[in-house]
Amino acid sequence: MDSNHRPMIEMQEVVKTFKNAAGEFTALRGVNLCIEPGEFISIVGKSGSGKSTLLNMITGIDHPSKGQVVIGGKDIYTGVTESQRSRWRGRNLGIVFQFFQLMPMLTLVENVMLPMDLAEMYDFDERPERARGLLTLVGLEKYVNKLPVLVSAGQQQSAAIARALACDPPLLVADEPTGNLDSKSANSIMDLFEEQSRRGKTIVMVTHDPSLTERTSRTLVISDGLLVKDSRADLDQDKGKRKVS
Amino acid sequence: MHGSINEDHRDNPIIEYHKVVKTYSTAAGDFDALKGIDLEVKRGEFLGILGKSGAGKSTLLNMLTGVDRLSSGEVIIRSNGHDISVHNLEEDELALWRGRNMGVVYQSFQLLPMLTLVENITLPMDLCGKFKAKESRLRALELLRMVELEEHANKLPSHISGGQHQRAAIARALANDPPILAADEPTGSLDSVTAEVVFGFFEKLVTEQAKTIVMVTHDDGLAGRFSRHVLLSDGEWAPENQT
Amino acid sequence: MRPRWRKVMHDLMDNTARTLLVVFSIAVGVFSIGVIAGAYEILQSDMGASYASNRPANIDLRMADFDEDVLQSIRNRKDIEATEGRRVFNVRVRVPGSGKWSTLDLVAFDDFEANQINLLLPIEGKSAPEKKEVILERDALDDLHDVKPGDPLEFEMPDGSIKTLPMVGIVQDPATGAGDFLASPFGYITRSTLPFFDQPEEFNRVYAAVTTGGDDERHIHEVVNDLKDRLEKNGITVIRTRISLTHEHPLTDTVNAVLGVLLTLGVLIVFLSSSLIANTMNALLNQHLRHIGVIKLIGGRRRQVLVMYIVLILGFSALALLISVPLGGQGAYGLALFISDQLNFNLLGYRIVPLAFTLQVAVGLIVPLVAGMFPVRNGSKITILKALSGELGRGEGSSGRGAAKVQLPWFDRIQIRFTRMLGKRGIHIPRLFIISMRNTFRRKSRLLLTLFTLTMGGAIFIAVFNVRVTLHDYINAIGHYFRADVTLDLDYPYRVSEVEQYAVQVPGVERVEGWQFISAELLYPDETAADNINIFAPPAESELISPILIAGRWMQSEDVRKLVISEAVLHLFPDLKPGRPISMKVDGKVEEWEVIGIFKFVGHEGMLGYAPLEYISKVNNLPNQSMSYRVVTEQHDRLSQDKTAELLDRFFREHGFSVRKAESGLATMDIAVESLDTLVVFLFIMAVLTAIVGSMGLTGTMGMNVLERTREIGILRAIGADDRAVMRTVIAEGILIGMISFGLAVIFSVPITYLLSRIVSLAVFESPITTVFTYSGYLIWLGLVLVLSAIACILPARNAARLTIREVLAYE
Repeated sequence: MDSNHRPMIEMQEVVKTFKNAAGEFTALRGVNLCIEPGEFISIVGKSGSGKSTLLNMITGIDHPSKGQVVIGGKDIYTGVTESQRSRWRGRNLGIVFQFFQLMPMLTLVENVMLPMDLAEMYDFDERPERARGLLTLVGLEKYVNKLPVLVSAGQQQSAAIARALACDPPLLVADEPTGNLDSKSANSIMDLFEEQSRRGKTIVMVTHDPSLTERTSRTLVISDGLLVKDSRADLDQDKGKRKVS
Repeated sequence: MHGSINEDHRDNPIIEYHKVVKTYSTAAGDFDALKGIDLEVKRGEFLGILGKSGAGKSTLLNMLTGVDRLSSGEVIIRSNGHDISVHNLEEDELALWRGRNMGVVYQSFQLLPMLTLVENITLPMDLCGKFKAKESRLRALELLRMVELEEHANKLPSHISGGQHQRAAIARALANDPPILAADEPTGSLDSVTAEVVFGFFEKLVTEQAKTIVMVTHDDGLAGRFSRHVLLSDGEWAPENQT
Repeated sequence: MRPRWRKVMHDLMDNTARTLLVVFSIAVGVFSIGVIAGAYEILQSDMGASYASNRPANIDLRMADFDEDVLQSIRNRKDIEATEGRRVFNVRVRVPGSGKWSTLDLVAFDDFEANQINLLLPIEGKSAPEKKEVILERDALDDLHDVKPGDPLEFEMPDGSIKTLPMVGIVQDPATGAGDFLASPFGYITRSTLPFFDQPEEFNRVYAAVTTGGDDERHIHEVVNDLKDRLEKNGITVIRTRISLTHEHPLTDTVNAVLGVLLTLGVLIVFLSSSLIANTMNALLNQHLRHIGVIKLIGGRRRQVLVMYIVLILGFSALALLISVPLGGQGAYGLALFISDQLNFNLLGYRIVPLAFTLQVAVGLIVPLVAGMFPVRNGSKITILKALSGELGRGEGSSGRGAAKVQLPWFDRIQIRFTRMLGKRGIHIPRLFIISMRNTFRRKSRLLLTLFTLTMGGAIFIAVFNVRVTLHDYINAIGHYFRADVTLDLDYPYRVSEVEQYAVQVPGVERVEGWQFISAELLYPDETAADNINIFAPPAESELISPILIAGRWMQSEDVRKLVISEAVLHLFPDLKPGRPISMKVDGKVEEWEVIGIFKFVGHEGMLGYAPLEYISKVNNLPNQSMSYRVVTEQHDRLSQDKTAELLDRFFREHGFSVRKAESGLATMDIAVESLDTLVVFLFIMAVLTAIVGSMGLTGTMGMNVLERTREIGILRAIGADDRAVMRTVIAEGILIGMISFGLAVIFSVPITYLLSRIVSLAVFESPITTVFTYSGYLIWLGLVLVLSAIACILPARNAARLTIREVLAYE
């Protein structure tokens, strides 16, 4: 197969079962999914539908009970330790969380440099400049040396996006990135994502706010552990047919 | 649908918000989470407070439970024959008053992990001293039977499912037989089937025990199932709100 | 059980590691207090009681040979209850076949069955020898290895021939020679065996007990003086007198002083352990904030919460007491047993000391309560919103709209400014290290408490090393009194020139110096005897002694009736100064001498003085003669000293000299300072204990830090940190704390060294000594603190690396 056309994310029959003393609970019941490079995906679903679990399968934060997840051509679960997966994640994808999750003891610019340190990407002396550039990109050039507690929630989330972009990964993953923001801040965060999408990043975003789906290129609906609706399903099928013929 | 608890206060609203303002100081400047809210809740009402995340719903509920302090305005609650201005109580008075008059249910259950279900439910009675020790246990078992958890009475919270958690939390909220229940997204972390069961219990409490319930949710789909619902948006009543 | 007490019970048991940490922190302090207080009490009562139970002689007279009649006349004196005459003489003994001779003081008893004073306690075999049998004091076994009752021993006769006697029993003699570190071990024979050793069947010792007032020093002094006067009037020379109280072991003061030092350290350990408890309680309360929030939400008031956590602390205390009280009791008895064994007295058996028990319970209950009160009070004040938002908010922006308006603490501002300043100059610190650095200073009160424990542990550890060197340095100084390589003591005075002539024929001998010796009595102004003083008389110009003078000058050859006194004399005459007169009875005549100088020596060696040979030889009427010789050899190490001593001994005996003993200088010194080693061992044990408490503090802190930062570790994982990066961050923080504490320990070790060495030297030498520092303690502690802090972090760091991110960040 032509490597230029390989999908960004491929999930096959992914099942995730949680076990606890109360018994088993199946959060994902066989999910199949293919995401092409450059797509801006929103995954919507009610709380408890399994959308965050699905996202955790993509980021490698959790591991599937069954099935395969291939990202950028790499099977991220078979024969890969948690530690190796962390390293891979640092170099290949950026994550944005609902609660920002910046390191509280580091200034914004230090927070953005941190992934480069961890992934050992870019020259050591180049990193401060690059981090400053990314913070400028998200409109935080005035706050580079502030600690996260000193800036607003929206600004924290912008910094988190800059951090996700630190190692220039092809894939951005966001879990309810606007869930903890007022509507104005939420808007500007969505602007940032759209811009990154225009620049060719693949973005997967989980949300429970249906109004955000209008701004993404494709929407997946998940309910009780199954993908029940795909806004591009028909289109994809057509594409598949064309490929075959 | 309206039970009778206290005849002489029958017509007065049980809960009254007067021009409640809550302001947070943030790095980006002062932020008004509540911009002068007025609200009356009648005895036996099942009131739903709807709105997007960030609209101020939880803050509104925290003003009722007294968990958070208001910036200006007043919240008055008429319960057991007394008019109480919640925010004029001292911390310990408030804790005791809340323990006896208001059950609180959160999205994240907040059961104590080291206590069995029956102990979790006995705890509020133990702390408030409204019931004797022996009586408390019987009452706790009674409440567990009501939420259909009697066979799990001696299990730890970690050994039961999320839905069962929330039912136990409801039983705990009822421990001291309070007239009011305040619930913050009680079904927020449950799957749809379980959420339905839990919601059913709340409905039953209103119809069968004449409790007054104020519930916060972001799920528009539930709107029709409250006896009344109000919509909050950026700290104010939304324009389409009829209240 | 009511549910709130169920929760307390659960909190007590639920986190084993944390419970162990708290319980152990309390237990360490309670244990050390228990051990020391218990040992103190046991020794206090048993030392005297056991000493008294052996009916120690109140009066010990060393005399020229005397017979039964003289003894009878002493016996008939009023105030004397029991008197025994014995003959004590020096003999060399060895296990047949082994080459090594050792010295024994043989004591001839009149009648073992009628023994009333300085009772012998049977240990093994016979406790009363027959004619031509010998029994040994157990200390003699230190030199005579593996000798069992029934084995033969070889004795060297004055003429150099060797005779064999069977050793038939081992006894303990806690009273004779108690507290005299320089005494040779004892052996016992019957009077009828004396001819076998070519000794006359006469006595040279009187041991007597007074009828009443055995604990009245004044009274005993009067009896002794009276006795001496009468004996001397009858022409019997009393060489030396010694008095002791019935119920006071001669070493009581020394032991009490040593225990005092240990008590100081014990109190310090309690302090350290309390800071450990405060730290752990703080962390526990932090972890429990949500529970406290829930309790308050459902009607709990602050007082109820407070009481719950106080009961929890009491629970920890109870657990700690359960461990540390029995252990402390055992330890106390063990310590007492060790000391009593070293000093040769017996304890009255194991028992629980009520005072120590009460003290332990009090410390075990009060210290944790005081230490835990602050965190518990603070914790009980938490508002529900804060308590619950910790989880509801899941992050910094807990209000949902960004951070509250915060003012950064000045320390954090400085840290950030500092990194920025470096950054501007192109010096960038890797961000992982910045995390470690800023994490170190995040919980400042916890850091302070941790630093306090670790620093004090380190400072004491270092100080103990310094004190050890200080003591050894002082011992070396003491060695200047024993500069001669070999001391050769003869039984009678010989001409110095004659001895010299023979000595230089022994290989390795360079030269010989003859010393003399005189014993005198120090007198109070009213001319009653105060104590004996032994005056050594080396040639004034002798290089074989270099005293530690603390006042006045050393002697000169033209000095007449002038002497240099040891510091110990000052205990009797505190006002003595160089230039002042001192009354002495010398050779039966009362004379006035002048003190010209004061020197320092090991305190418990009694009254000593130096006067020039040039004068003393006239007093003794022994010009150009001497009984005691100092020999200088070519080599000065212990081995060649011992060898030359051996050769000298043999050579002089072969040539018909009556040799008492030939001993190497270093051997003499060893005996003098033996007791110090025991003390240093104790100090070292305490130092290790404090170091353990310190490193426990660090382990606990790192554990708590990691636990509280699981979320941040999860973030690190999520943005690409592998196991190594996570572990490195945690370990760097631990080592940073270790290094800061090391720096502080270096500073604090200085005053602690001075304090400790002062206390110890007062205890041992009865006078302060010069403090010396050594780098070895610093180096060892540096190494130790690095290793300890790395170890303290490894477990928490590994746990941190194992956390899966979902556990940390995701809740669904």
